[in-house]
Amino acid sequence: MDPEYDAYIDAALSLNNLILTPDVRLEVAKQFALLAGMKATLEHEPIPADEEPANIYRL
Amino acid sequence: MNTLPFTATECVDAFSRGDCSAIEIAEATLARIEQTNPALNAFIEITAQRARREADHLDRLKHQGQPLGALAAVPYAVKNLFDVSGITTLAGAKLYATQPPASQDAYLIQRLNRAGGLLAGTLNMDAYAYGFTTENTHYGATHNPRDTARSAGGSSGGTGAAVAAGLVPMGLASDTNGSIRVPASLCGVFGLKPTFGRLSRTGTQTFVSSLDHLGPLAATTQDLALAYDALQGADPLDPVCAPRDIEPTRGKLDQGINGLRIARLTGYFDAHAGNEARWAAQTAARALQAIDEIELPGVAAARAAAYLITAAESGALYLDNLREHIELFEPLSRDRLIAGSLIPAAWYQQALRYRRWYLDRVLSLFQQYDVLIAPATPITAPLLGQSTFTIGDREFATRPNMGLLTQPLSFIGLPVAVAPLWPNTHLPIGVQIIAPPWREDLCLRVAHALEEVGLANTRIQRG
Repeated sequence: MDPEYDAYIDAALSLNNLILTPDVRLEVAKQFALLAGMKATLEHEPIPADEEPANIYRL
Repeated sequence: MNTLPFTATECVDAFSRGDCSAIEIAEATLARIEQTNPALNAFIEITAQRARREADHLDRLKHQGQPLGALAAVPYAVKNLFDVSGITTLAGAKLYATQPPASQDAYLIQRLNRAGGLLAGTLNMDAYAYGFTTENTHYGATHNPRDTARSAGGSSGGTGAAVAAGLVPMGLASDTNGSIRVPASLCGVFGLKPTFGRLSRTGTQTFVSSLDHLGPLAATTQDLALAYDALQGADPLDPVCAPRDIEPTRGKLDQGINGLRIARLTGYFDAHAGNEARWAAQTAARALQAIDEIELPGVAAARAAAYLITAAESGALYLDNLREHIELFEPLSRDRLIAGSLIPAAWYQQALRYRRWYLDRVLSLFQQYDVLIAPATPITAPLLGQSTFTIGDREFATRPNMGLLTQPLSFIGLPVAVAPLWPNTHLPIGVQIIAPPWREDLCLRVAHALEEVGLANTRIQRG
């Protein structure tokens, strides 16, 4: 796990008042690493910074 | 019992002609469920009294010469994230077990009820709809009727199994990232995930608001279209439901595929498909005379964006409960939900931005093609408890990755039907039939064409 994310996870858990056992904390870190991998995959595609986000939308 | 109708279309016809009563159909359905469900764990609650009451009502209407609905005397069941009056909406979660019963039916159940459907019960699912295998720690796994050692897919595994086992000819489910299409593929039934915003979500448990769709699974394409036509209708109480007129599809099924420009998706879709999945897509494409093969742009990023949106929205949805009742959570999903609740807003925003960009590019392909074909799942039904599967030399965790091929399509809300093919004697696999927004009719026409040539079928045993 990237130490940068490790510190972030601890800070975010604290901010969200989520108190976890060490085992669960470890599993959450693994899941967060997966999400960070997804973010990296997403960043492979160049998206203009001014692209309008599509949130709740009607096609 | 064997002489009674089974498919939804047969039920409507037989009841309308007077060949049998609605109560006879209801009793035969309940007997099938009682006999078979213990081996499958598809049903969580059987609404026998309600089915009998609805059947009695229909029989009285018919006796009085009153008009009958399009689904008169058709048994069906629903994933247990739909509100059913008098029953607690579980969404597969122990977290909700102590909630009061729903005070009224979900909008789509009301529509089926008005059309004459007979509600037989509520169906098992992955907790919160987060998963693709219907392995549920608190309510048990649902077993695939084709091989009970295998998964029925998820998260709507109960619906897939109930239809595939012939317990009901149609069922309702939800699909956020593939939860209609994965069970349809692994159980070998037809399924339809309509366009995002087509069907009302009022009275159902949210999972990921900006990705959740509802739709039917069924024994035949006629049944699928019959169900879908009955479900359509604008709902002002659902802000996502588009104010569109009902666009009937059943009468268009026989229009065939002449004139349709159909292409098979390659690239990412081939790279994440095992041998059976590639066989299914290639075989369907040949039968449809779809010679062209094309690649969608940026599919891997689309899947990644769907994954992030799912994690962020579901994590936020369950954050309060994670804080206060973490012991009640499904262990198979808990850690994913917590991790999702920690996602920085910038990641989520980038995923939403990408959705617009990707949608525009995929829509431009529909200027050249009317329908696209792709496999629905990477592999046939995995064993229950199987933690990984392999494609080529890459290993994937089973539970989050059975939707590898479905997520990039629901991400942008396209309508997709699944038709089941049979690469070997006992395990089916589905093909996705993808159309532009609001063209569910094209999805169903192509699925029907595959059924008509004998390639797609559900091999459901009657009685």
